[in-house]
Amino acid sequence: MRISVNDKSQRSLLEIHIVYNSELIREFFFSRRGLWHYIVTFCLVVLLLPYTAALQAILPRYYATLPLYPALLFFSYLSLRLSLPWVLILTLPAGLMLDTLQFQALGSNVFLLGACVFILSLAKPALSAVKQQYMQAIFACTLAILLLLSLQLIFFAGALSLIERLALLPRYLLLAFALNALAAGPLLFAVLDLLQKPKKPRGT
Amino acid sequence: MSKLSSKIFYFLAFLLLLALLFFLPEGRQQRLRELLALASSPAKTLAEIGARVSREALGGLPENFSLEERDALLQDLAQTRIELHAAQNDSERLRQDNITLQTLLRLQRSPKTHTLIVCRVLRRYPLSDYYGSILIDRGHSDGLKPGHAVLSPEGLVGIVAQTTAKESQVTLVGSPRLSLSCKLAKKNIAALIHGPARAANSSADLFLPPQDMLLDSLSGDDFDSVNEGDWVLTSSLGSENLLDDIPIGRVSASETDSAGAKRYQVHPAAGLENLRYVLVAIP
Repeated sequence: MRISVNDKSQRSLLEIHIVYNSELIREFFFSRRGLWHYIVTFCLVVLLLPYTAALQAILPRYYATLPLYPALLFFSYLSLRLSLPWVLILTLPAGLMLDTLQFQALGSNVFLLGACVFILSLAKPALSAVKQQYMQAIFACTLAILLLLSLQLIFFAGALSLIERLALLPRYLLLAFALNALAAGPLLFAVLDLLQKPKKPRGT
Repeated sequence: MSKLSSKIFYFLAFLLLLALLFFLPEGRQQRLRELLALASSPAKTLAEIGARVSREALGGLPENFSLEERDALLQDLAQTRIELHAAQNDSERLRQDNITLQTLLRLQRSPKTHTLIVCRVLRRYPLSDYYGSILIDRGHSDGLKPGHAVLSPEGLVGIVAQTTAKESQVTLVGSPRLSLSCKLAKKNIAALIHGPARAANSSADLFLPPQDMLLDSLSGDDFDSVNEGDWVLTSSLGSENLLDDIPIGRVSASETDSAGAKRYQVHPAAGLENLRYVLVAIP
């Protein structure tokens, strides 16, 4: 499109050229490193963060004995894909929501999630070295579950004795491992990766 | 700064922020909690719908329940309900008979009635005040007032301290803040009972059960006849909101205070470890 302002003798005083370059615009928004990637990440965080936190708080009312931790799995994913300060900041709203919905002291779940995220970020180089994505998800979720349950039994087990706490650990851990690390975790990682990363164009 | 040290720095900063959160004043915590509840309500509703739909899709049965077990449970429930109605009818008939007889005998005092309300424990404070207070899901819109007795089937658990419309804060018998009038069963003795003493700012008993309660300021004709094993009961002498004759605990030991007066240790009758539901007695 060309816009020009002419004088009486038809000389151009001002000329504006607007060129629609579809290829470049598409690349800017939808390429592998384009804006789209950030928009999707932002939307995922805004939508999934409160939802997974609410689901983690709600699930025990419907399935009392199923130790499924969607918020923890989501944060395991985030801690492998985002940098540590961002994930630690994100644990604040999620943990506070969990505390509110579970009627716990404010900060309890923030601490649990933050500690898990920190340890996962320390293990990130080792986890990233694993080639297969599903194995990476399994290892990350296993580590996160082990940490969460240990911290829960250390800090939030009320008046249970040490032996009772130790006795609870394998019972929770086995089922939690099967549910989170073997089933839900790899599935969540795969879905989120699929949403986030557009396929590479052929020949590149 | 290397990667590891920067990560540790971020985590320490995070822990510092978290510590600030733990030490927020109660009023601000409450406001923050309300704000978060409002912000998370759409996600909560969505999650509840999802969980409910999946539950219905799985047959709507509790976990590890077969259809036969559910039917047997429902049958038991129906039978119990019928028996309960019959017992209530009998009780009401006896109450009416009692009133009629009292009227015939020109007795002025009518028997005291009370209502028991079942409440769910919403929150305990695992890191700060586990044996000191709980939050329950009934408030002044359900008739609760400060001073009402909170009990479990074993005995007194605490006293309602503060009420809002839908929730109430309960001071447990393990709290040093608890103090109420009481009496000794089968003896004409009134006294005061206090929660276990705790040194200021002590946090050593975070996960340990509280010590025994203290009984002192005894008055009455037989004030020196207290023995180990005697039952201590609640008394409405100090507050009209407190129901009489709820067992608090048993006298476990005696000691002499610095002024030379006798005081006694009382072991609470009700355990405070696993409180999921409690009853509030409204006189």
